[in-house]
Amino acid sequence: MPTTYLYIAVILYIVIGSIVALMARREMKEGVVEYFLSGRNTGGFVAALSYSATTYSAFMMIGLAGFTYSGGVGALGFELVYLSGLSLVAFFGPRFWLIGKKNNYVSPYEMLGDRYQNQWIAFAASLSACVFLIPYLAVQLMGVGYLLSGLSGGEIPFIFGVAIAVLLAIAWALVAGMKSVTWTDSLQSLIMIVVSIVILFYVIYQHLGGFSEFFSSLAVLEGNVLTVPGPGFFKFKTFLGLSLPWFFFSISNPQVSQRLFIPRDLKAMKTMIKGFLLFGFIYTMVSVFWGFSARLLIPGLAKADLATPELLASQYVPTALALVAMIGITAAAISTIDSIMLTLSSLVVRDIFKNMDDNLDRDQNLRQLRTAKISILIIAIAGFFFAIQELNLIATLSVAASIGLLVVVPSMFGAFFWKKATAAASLSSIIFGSITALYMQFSGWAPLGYGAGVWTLLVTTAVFILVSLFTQAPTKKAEEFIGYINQECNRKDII
Amino acid sequence: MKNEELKKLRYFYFILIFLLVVSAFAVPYTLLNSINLFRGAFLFWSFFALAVIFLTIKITTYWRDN
Repeated sequence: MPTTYLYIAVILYIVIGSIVALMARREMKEGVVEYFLSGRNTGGFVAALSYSATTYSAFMMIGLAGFTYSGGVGALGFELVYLSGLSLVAFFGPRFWLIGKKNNYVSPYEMLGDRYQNQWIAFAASLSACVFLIPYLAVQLMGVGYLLSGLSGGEIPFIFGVAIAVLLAIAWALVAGMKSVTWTDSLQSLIMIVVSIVILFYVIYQHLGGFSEFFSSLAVLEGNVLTVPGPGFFKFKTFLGLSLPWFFFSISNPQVSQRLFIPRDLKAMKTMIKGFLLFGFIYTMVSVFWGFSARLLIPGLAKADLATPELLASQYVPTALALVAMIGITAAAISTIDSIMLTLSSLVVRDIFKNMDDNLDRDQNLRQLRTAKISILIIAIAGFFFAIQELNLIATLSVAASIGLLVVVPSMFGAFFWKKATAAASLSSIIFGSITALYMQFSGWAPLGYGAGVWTLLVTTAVFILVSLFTQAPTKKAEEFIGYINQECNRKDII
Repeated sequence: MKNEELKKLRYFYFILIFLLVVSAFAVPYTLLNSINLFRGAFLFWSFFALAVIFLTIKITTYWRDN
């Protein structure tokens, strides 16, 4: 593909996205809650699109398509198990929202620290999020780098794509905080979904004879790609180890759970959930179909992650469509990157360098915002340096991040549903869980054949329950916190 | 709605979704592992996801803003 076209498409995307970000800035009011949560006043439609764009990253059209290419239909199961994890939001979403509004929480870990009456919990969880999310962020940056370099036949250097992605994410996060992030997210999610559907239909009807013939062709491929374990990658234990961490994504990943604080009201949250589920189902299907299409049209690739870039660069996709697809995937990456940077900066401000005399007056607001902006830059630089190391296999790294974030899951359940849960339990489960995740991922140790995902969840849950049984719970706070939620849930028929 | 009633509904939906998720792990690897067709694991997982989506949306329909 001519490099000039790629540059023109990227420039157009930058200009349009930046106009939207600047429009958001005109609407922005003052203060920390406005900057990080868009004033808790986001409508359902924007919240749904932003939630979708943040959750779904370059992993879908590159990593998941690659998984499908090499592993067959198991990739669909893996991603749909993840989507089913959104059912957790039906239980946790309104509770997060209610208590967030009442106690003015900005970050989900700030909420944990207050609920368990121990600031070290917020500190440890935030530190662990930084350790695990910066590589995840870097993986997104790498996605953009590979895509541009692959499509230009190597003419655009990998580092150029990475640099563009990091600069855009910084700009769109800094311009107006959560407002510019959600507005550009909305634009980007629309690009992602429309573009991916168009190119998929084009490829399937133009080159693969329609959906029915598509499945017939898949059925005769070597390796039984429509079954599991099929070609071999998705053995049951691998499938479980990959899917389990992702099932809890909606409460384990702070950039996603923080979004439960932003809807204007319950109606907006309903729309957010419905919109996301619809988006997720379609986008998952499209990514898996895309991976299968690549398997049929360009078999024999040595690296499955290259399935999408190679298919886009092939004669099967016209240049104009390939260009918009490239923008769609870049949008998916950047909308995830800026959200992660913004959320991590809120963790730095509210949980890592928390000022205990927090009274949210004007000076304090200014100081916190300044620290947040510096943190965004530092996080971006860290992500950039991690990305240019070019570590292998984009999908595996992405999953590794979800494993590390699992460590807060028992504490989240305990915060809302178990009055006897204790601070010592929460803190020790986060620490032991993180150590387990890190050790197992680095050593590759897999007792009984199960990987880090399964063991991290088991260890962190066991530690949480056991320590809770032998230590003292913050009874007064637990009564107040859960009591308020129960009272409001009864009033509002929240199940 | 009364607390007890909400609790019952919570358990009901939780168990239903839990069973569906278990089936998403168990069924494709046992009953469907020899059906190399669209109507095998592909269709099963699609229906599974649609069922969970339906239940999740159903839960939100109880909510009232007041």
